[in-house]
Amino acid sequence: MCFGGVNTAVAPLTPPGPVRNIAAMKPPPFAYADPESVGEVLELLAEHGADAMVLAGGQSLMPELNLRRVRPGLVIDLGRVPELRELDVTDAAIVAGASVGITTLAEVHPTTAFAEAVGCIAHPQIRDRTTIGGTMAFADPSAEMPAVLVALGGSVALESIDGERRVDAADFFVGPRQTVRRVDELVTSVTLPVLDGPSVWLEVARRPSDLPLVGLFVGAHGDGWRIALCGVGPTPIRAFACEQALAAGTVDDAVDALAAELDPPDGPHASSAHRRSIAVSLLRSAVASLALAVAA
Amino acid sequence: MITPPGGARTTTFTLNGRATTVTGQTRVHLADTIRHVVGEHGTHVGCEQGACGACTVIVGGVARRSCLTLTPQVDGAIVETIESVAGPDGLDPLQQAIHDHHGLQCGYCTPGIVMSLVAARRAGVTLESALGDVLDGHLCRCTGYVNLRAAVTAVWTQLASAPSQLEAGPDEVIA
Repeated sequence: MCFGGVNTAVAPLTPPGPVRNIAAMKPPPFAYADPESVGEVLELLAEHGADAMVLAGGQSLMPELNLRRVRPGLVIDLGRVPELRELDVTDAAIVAGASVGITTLAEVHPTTAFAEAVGCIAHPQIRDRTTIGGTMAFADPSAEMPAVLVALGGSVALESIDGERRVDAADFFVGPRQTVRRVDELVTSVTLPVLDGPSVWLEVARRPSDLPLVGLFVGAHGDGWRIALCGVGPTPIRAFACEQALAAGTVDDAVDALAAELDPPDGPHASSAHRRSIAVSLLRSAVASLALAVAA
Repeated sequence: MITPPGGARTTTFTLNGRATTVTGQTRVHLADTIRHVVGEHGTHVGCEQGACGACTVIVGGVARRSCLTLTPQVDGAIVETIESVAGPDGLDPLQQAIHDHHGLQCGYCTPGIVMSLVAARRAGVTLESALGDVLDGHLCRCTGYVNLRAAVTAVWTQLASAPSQLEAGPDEVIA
């Protein structure tokens, strides 16, 4: 049995008349470009960068456009740039072009917490369109992927017509939805190192698939730990004091260190104290589940 | 190619097996183009922020929000909407199951849900994923999901006993 209604015998479905203007137009007017190479994108950004926005998967930019929260003069669609879909997998790291989808990466990245974090992001209809470059460039402080990048010790490649630079994750995010990317630069690839030990991603959200109130990455690597969080500051935060306390002492020491080094913002969905309390609970759960993983 | 603000661009794609050409402003999203330019009204528009799922269509075999897709982005793509799901013999088993289990009341969210489930069935996702992850991408204010879950369970159980019903997607390209 095959339903699907695919029937080429019927006439082409082309509406009458050359141009039909419709009333339902939500995004504000913008110029639209769909360049076919990174070089063309960089030329456009060099000329129009201050007034341009880059469209990757569109799952963050399109709602902003539909609600008219942003009014770019030019939208640059990356959908026809094949170079940005390249994927280089080695034992040490995965280098993903900016347009590679996060669900694709979840299938190839061997660090357990990576796929666990991706599984927490929205639902398949959105997640399948989310790109690794887009989520880094958008830099929402509550989003999972920037915190994962910080935990992995990854980096972001930025390109302009003047050249390329690679920025460590720790230096890339500078504020809520703010990065060091200049307006003439494009995020071209993201380097996602592989951890050599077990790892886990845990988060608390008001509803599954919402942005989390707090998300936590805990992973073992070499002799130490990698711990990073989202939702507890203006950028994703690497918990260095907590990492050292966990390596040197007990879970209680690590909990104290984490509580001391976090200064989460007060917000309508959760107070600062509540976010800190969630972070501490997640840390205890994460360490317990990793201990089980190691024992197994 | 740069289309200036307010300028017209022509987009050609396959909609439900038919070569379709539309000309209009690049800022019109795919849901509005399907409804108001092509005139197929089965695809519904809800929140236009990607949250509700009413506008879900299948593009290149993957369920996605047509409200979060600019029309020129589907140039050259294969697009399927709810109009493609029922065949000459009647309703698709998914539609029939939703009908049988009373999985809809007002029906506004239903076309999007059916399209997500068609894509999920083709991808061979598990029942657990269909009930959880896939339905999670849709807001239904009437049914409370109990009857929808019953319908999905019935279809997936039937599939498990007769996997030949797993269908392939359309594969032809624009002529």
